[in-house]
Amino acid sequence: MKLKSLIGAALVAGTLLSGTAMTSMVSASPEPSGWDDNNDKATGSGSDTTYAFMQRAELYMNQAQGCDTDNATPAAAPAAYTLGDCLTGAAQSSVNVNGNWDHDIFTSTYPNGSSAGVKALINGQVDYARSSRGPKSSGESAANFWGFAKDGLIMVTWGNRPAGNLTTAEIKGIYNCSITDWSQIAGQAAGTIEPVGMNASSGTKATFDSYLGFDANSGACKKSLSNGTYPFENDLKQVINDSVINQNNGITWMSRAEYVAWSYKRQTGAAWTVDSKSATAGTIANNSYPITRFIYHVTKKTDATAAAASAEVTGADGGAGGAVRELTEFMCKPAASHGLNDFTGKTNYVELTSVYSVTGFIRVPASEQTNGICKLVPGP
Amino acid sequence: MRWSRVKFGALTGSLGTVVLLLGMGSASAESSVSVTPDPIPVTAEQSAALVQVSWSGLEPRQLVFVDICKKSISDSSFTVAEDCGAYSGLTPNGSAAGDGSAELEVFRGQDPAGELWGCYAEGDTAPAGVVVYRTCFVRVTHTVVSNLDSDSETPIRFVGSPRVDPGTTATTSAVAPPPQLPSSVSSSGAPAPGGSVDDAEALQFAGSDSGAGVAITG
Repeated sequence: MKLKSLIGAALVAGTLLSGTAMTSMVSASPEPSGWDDNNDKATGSGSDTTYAFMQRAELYMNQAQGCDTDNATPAAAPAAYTLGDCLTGAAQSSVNVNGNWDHDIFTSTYPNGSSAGVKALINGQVDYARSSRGPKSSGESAANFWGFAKDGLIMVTWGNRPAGNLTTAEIKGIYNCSITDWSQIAGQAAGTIEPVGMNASSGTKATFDSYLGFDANSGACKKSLSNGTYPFENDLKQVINDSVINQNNGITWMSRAEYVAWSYKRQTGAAWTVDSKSATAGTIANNSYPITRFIYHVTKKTDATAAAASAEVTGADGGAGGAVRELTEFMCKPAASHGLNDFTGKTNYVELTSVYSVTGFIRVPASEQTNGICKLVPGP
Repeated sequence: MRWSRVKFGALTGSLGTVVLLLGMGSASAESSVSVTPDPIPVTAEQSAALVQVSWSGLEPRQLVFVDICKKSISDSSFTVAEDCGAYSGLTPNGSAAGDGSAELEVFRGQDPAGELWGCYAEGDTAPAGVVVYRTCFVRVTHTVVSNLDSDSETPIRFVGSPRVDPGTTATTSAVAPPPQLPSSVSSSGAPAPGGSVDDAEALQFAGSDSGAGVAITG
């Protein structure tokens, strides 16, 4: 970015910058970047699983420090409305480019599923998307998937069915209906297994299908809710309150992050080990737990992409696309590149750490990051 | 040694009577936790140790959170996100009695998530910039990890031959070395699917920095 580059070059060169010179440097928006001195508004949609995380991340991005703003009472004509935009010229004294320079505004819409969100992004109907699955093999080539966290899928039962261990072969057997009674599982009392399906637009289902190698809803033994629909992902209230599903013989899967973060969604669910591995932050981080996944912030490739061998995010220069570019960088960049939150006095990296903790997700281990930031998976 | 967070409230009546409220009526207000062995013996090669964590007094049938923290819950500035290891916890299912136990792998050295702190034995050397804690804490709570109303903790210390910690590369640049456990104890480290572990391990052994850290005890 021009501002960063200018400041960096000045420091490297040891140039003595007067206050006047510095002021003039920041009189224009710091280009090339996603900033344009205007409060652009960007909207995201998609995954249920990542909704709570993104809402919190957006809060810290919206609060992040940046330019000095035009706070003059606006004129009546809308065209003259500049309230909150960056001051320009000599009036601008801020040099803070580690937050949200032109105070762009980010909002996540209510969840509607990963696939629908990504489709809306590609259609140009929203500015970014949330996805709990990676890119599809076709149809999503215009999108970049920025893995900002890891998660695991856990197998869950409820009622009085005690949790135990399932092997991957047993899970596949349960969902392809070749294992139909709990007595076929070590340590379990008899009872007809009722494998519950999941709504088809869910990224959590897509991940589970990939693990199984087939459609989890396709088996003749699979169960849906009493109203004939499949439950939404990661919310056991639906199955626990359902009149058709046997409370002691049902089984489903859900996001480990949602499971540990939200007791209201977890209800009385109990997690099983898979292949004798517990789904912990450590086993998910090092991939020793069998069902792990990344979760994604999705952008248009033209708005945000990774610079070669750099933690910098390149892309759109302004407007909502530019704002998305900066949101992407905010979510992905390392600790040293973050500024302070004005309300807590902590860095936004620390605040994002608290978001990971509250929502149950795990920061992407460094070994799996792209250029020291998120894990970037371009749509093929 | 067990430390419990106990909630105190006081009401002062017109006659100066002070009523002390302990536990605020919650069955889980006085949870407790212990770790075996205590202290934790380690060899010079060990970067982790398996311990048995036992707890009681938690809310029945609620999910249990077991974490390794650098700061005591008695410290008013304690927060889980900042003071506990992001990659080092467990979440066992709760029991009907609110008690239970689990095997926990305790890291010795820099936080496996790459944050700039670690749990060290006396005489251990930390990488430059890593804050050294000779005493860390195993904390348990229930329902949500941020539950500070009924959590409890026990301090943990390592004893044994000193070790130079090569460090966990920061979250933002690389990953922790795989823990080195005693040869008699399995680390249960199954190969990771997807081939990413090979790359990770290659990175894990690359680079070491034996600069001195900053020691904090207590």
